[in-house]
Amino acid sequence: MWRRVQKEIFQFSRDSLDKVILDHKNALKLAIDEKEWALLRRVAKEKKVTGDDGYEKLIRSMFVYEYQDRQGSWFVINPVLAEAEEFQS
Amino acid sequence: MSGSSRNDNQKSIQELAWAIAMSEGQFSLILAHCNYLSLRSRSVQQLQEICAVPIRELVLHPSNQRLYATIQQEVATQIPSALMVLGLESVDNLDYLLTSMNQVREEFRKNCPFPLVIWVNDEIVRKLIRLVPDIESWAKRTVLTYPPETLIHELHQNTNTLFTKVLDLGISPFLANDAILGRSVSGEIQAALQELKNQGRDIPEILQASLDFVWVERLMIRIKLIWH
Repeated sequence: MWRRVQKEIFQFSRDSLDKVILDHKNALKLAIDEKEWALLRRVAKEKKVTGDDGYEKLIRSMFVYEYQDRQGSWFVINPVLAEAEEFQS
Repeated sequence: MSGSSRNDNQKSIQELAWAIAMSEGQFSLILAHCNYLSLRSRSVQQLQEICAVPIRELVLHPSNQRLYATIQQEVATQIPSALMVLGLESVDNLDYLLTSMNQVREEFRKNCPFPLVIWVNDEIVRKLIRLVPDIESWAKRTVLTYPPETLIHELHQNTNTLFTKVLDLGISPFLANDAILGRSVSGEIQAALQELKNQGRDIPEILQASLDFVWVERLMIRIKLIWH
């Protein structure tokens, strides 16, 4: 039994990968309120954040990632959230 | 239960069993994410049956405020192969417990050489992401849930209970849904609705009508509270 369990888990399928991404998206969605969705839509469009308190929370909770290169830094929403229906509207 | 969802849940339990067995002898934080108490108790039992190592169970008291200290006390006489914590959702001051847990994060790693499985629900995951995102990203999380048909069935049952009780009480305006059903059932209704929404499932009309009643009743109570 135990061997079978191990064997099944090591087979890493596209389905299980999709499930992991979906579960993570659903968890993050639990923690985002309406006001933050509005901020996230702005970040997605403008690729920047202002010094506002709301934005700080977005980064701390990992809803938004900051990237840097030699030219400077920019902000992108967590790719897991990109497919959320809240962005489709 | 439909075949595929039943398999999904079986898979999640196997995943948990595997993660626990793989971490024996070292600290590892595993969150078992399940919103339904009935499913949780069944899953705990199955997990105990299939896991290669024995899992000790620790049920928290509502007055508990410090998880690390409670665990240290529990394992003082004998280090377990694995430890499973239940009852976090019933802790009165959950915000405090979670932030104190975050403050002693390194102590867990140093002094708890065993996999630690904590059962969480939507409300706790929400708090983890908002209050202590470091812990949430540090942990492995496995989701256990019912298939959509069972979720709809459970919703019917819960709203029927609510109806019957409200009618028995003669529509007492001073009892919130939480008081009638219990806080945990109220949370289960919300979680089931959210999950159905996530799965893109429509809610049957008759159920929607019952749920609308539930929300209207909630609103009435709020309005009455404001007026008084």
